[in-house]
Amino acid sequence: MAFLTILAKDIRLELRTRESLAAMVVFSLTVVLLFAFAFDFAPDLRGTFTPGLMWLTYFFVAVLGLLRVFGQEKQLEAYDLLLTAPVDRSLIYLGKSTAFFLLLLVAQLLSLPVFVLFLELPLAAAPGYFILILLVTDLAIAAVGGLVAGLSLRAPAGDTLLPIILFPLLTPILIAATKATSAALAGQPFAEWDFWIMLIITFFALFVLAGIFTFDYIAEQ
Amino acid sequence: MQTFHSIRRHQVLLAITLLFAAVNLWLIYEVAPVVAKQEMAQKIFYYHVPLAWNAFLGYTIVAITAGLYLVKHDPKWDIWSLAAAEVATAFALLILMTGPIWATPIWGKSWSWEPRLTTTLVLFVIFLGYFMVREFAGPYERSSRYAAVIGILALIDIPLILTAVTWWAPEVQSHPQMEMANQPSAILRVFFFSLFSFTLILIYMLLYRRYVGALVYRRKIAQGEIDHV
Repeated sequence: MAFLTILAKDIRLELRTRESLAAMVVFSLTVVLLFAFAFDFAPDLRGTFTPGLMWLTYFFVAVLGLLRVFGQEKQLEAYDLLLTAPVDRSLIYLGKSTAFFLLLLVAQLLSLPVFVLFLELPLAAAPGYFILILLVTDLAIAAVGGLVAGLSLRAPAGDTLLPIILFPLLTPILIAATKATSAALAGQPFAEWDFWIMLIITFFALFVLAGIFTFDYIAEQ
Repeated sequence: MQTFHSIRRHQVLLAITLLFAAVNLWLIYEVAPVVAKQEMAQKIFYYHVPLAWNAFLGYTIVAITAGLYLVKHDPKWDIWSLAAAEVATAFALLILMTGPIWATPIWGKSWSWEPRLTTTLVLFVIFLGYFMVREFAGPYERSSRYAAVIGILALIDIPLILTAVTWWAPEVQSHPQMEMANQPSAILRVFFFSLFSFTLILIYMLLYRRYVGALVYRRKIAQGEIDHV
């Protein structure tokens, strides 16, 4: 129940302003432009670079989203209030991480056309698998992201610390998501790259458990 | 005033550690057989691999003591955890240096994204973040708790990073040596002596750093930087 209340609160907040979502989508468009100008791909090479660029962009977008979802409450000092709620702290972690997961997923879906149009992401090759990869990867990012944002954003230098801690922890996910996306969109059969999906799911399961067990300690006053 | 080295058992440990280090040097350069083709370059194996095993032992100690600190709230575990993190990261830096030193003559280039070295690099970067959290994450008590969580997350991440980077570049040769069990026993004997010698160094550095950490903690309490004991 508390989980749903927190989730609903964050969704309601976002729906009122659509501030984070707009920022995240426009940011991905900006980054794609920068990538396109910085790398000057030969047309036949685009296919090999695009999945990596896309996930790199989504990683930056994820940080932007975390700064919004968790930073908003820091600004208004509402986070400390939220922590005083008489509920299990792990529910706060799960609620906020789920809200972030949904936000990230919607932002990605909205900015997908940018990659298809400008970087020739061959999405039509395997849309079903692509959605699967998107779902599991976002779950993994949200599991670690919610935890790291929960701890770093209460610190004075939190905005700077967040990506510094988050990105190295997420290296296996960046590798797995990029490899899986390349393989899926190149039309390889699922059995040849399913180990990347399993790696991402294992990562998600381990870090969600770690989050549930440790969030209580980082949320203490 | 009592210092670390005025305690008898620390003197004994230091003496034994130095003795083992000296004998280890002699064994590596005089006793261990010279491997064909690699010649002296192979000698770095007796530093590199024991450093690696001990660094990961150190990171395991970080995570265990971090867990104890979170559960028991006893600052002594936090001091242990920080000590282990610093020593293990120093070891990791040495792994990252000795690997390329070996690879330069043997593979012809210093960095080729070998999976274990890559994993060590990622772990090293995670722990740079860990130390930044220690410094910049606000009040001492809180930053200690945050660091503890990162220490635990890092240990969970190690097998995942290793798996991912191994699958990521399957064409990269994963290990320069033969499997450990297939090494001739003349090499293995020296290797295990070296391993033990480096574990002694790890223990000595850990105890020393913990001792300093406890002094720093006491000074912080005296200066009122920490609210409660």
